[in-house]
Amino acid sequence: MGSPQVKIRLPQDTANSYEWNAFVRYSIDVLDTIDGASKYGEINEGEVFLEIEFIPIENAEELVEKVLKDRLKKAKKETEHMGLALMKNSTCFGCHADKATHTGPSFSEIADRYENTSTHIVSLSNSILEGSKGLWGNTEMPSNPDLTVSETEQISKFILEQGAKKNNWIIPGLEGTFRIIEKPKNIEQGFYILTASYTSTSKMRGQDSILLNIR
Amino acid sequence: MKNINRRIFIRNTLYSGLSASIMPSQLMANDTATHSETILENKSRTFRKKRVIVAGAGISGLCCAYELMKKGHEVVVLEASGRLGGAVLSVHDGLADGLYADFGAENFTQPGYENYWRYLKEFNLTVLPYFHRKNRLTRIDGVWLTDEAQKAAYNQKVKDLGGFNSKEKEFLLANPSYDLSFLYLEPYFDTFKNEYQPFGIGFDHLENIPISEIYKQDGASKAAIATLGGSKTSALYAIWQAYIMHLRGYDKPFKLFRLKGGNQVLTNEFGRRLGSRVRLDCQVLEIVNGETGVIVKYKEFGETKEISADYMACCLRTTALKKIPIKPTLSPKKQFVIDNLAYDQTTRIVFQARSKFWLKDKLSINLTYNHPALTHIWQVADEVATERVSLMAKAPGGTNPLRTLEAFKEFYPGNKSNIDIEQVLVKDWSSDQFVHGCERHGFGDLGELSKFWPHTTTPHGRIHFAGAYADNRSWGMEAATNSAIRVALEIEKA
Repeated sequence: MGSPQVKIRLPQDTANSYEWNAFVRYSIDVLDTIDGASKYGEINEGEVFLEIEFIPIENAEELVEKVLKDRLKKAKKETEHMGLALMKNSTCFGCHADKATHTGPSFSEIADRYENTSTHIVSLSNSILEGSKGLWGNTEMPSNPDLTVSETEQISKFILEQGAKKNNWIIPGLEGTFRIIEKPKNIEQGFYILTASYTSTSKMRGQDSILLNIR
Repeated sequence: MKNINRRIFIRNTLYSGLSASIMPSQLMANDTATHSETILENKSRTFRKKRVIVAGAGISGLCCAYELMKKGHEVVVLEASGRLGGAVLSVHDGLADGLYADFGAENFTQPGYENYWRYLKEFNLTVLPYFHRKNRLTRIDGVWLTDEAQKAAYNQKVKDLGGFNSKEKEFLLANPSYDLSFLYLEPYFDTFKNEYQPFGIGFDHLENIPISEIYKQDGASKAAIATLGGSKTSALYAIWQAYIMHLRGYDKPFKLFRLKGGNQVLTNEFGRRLGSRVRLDCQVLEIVNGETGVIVKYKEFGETKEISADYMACCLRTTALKKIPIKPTLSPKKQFVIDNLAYDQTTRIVFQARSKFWLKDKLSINLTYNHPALTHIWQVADEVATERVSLMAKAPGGTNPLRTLEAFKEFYPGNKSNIDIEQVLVKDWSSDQFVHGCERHGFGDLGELSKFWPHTTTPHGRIHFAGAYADNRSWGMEAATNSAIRVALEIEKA
């Protein structure tokens, strides 16, 4: 029994080269010997994630290849954050996203307001367990009594860590669109590393990474 | 008379559509001159059949496509999901004895919903009164209160705050207490020239002033200021919304209605008339707005296809639009709306019970629980001839329906052993793939309105935007039909 096969697909006409501020549409193909194929709707979308990382390149052309190789190697070794694994099995992503505001605040808004300290992890964990109202506008957050304290603390840790990452985005689902950042000052070129991952029902993880050249 | 008009109109449409470029205009004029309708004759000369792609077969997409079709235009509706109706969803499956429930858009009003009512008359649909707010009991701080008891508590609060002033007292002799704000907002109404334009009429500065300041400034009593609130609501937004409500008659007590068989009956009727013009399982992937037309890439059963037309009526909610690259890119103001518009996230839970068990407890089933897993509950489809009942409950998105049932039982104001619920169905809009969420949020925070309005409704080249989010008030089916008709007219005139 092997790991699931994961493949990132981009529209053919772009040749993985994009302009600053452009929209990128992607889809992710998943094939697993037990779960089945995304093509036939057999893959749970909630288990599929795209992680996006921006790598700015400042002049040193010869270093480009090395930086990217190291980064890609790292991406391949990464395991999933416990907090993210728990969130996938809950209903969190219905209302929250990493950097975009949906009905509830984004992870980055939460991380902006609350520093990653043990006090904030405990208070955030309480909000997840018991629900909250009035902290972020009038919207009500339901309680999650099915989770344990240690689980909600893991989730809180993940939210604060992920939310604080500036050049890193996580998007759930088998397909979607993201927008490349505006061109930063003093930088002509950069790369986006896209890493799609899927965790199968037998807890096997498959992933695929590709590079986008941004000019 | 109606029939004759229609026949002439269809014939004219055919002429102009099939042979506009090769038929000399004189010939067309000669032909139509045999008919007596001069207005229509003129129309035929200038009429140009347009090809329009409508994105989304929710109520706004279907309504817009229907209007364009009636005007003689060629429409294709691309719908990502496998069903018509979007957030209008009436469910019969899983319920016994012909019971049903509206999991999505639940009611409409009178007065109000004028465009919506027009279709109900045109299609001869059966409308039923909806009493889900009558004889309501509300649970506050663990205690069940009748509307009268709540009113008494409100009156006591007002008294404790020093009471209303004479102007307010006089106003409340003729108006319900929930309308008190109108005493202070109404003087601003005459300045509006158009319900779609709150800006440029001398009120722009009010966007950054809380409405509570206006109450204070205009002499409201301490009790009125405390009960009206509004310290975080923009005065411009509050005045504008109150003006729209006044215009539509919502500032007076209004009646609630629903469609017999479920509100989806209307979207089904639109769909039936549009026939194969609606293509299901066709998800829009990319839109290119060109000089002479629009090109849309879409996915049909996994296969990417392309279609072009003169215009697009984009009737997708912003949650779906976020995922669709549009070329050339939208203006920053338009993009802001798409990125930041927020929606209510609600879970609808339906209980089927064997009987009207609450009658044994001499209670109304219109109950406001104010519980984290159950906000309200009421009866639906009460006209169905059966002893069984279907009850609709509301909870925040992501709520486990069995927790809703538990909360219902635990805090039920009568004898728990009378409860005979036998079935639980659920629709969580926060996890719907295509219809993510319910009504859009308002733009009422200080300084927010100009970030969203009027950009929410402005077209992008040949792409025009409709949907329940794209009107001046967020009441779902009213906003959807209003904006659909607006877009059909925009494209007609373009």
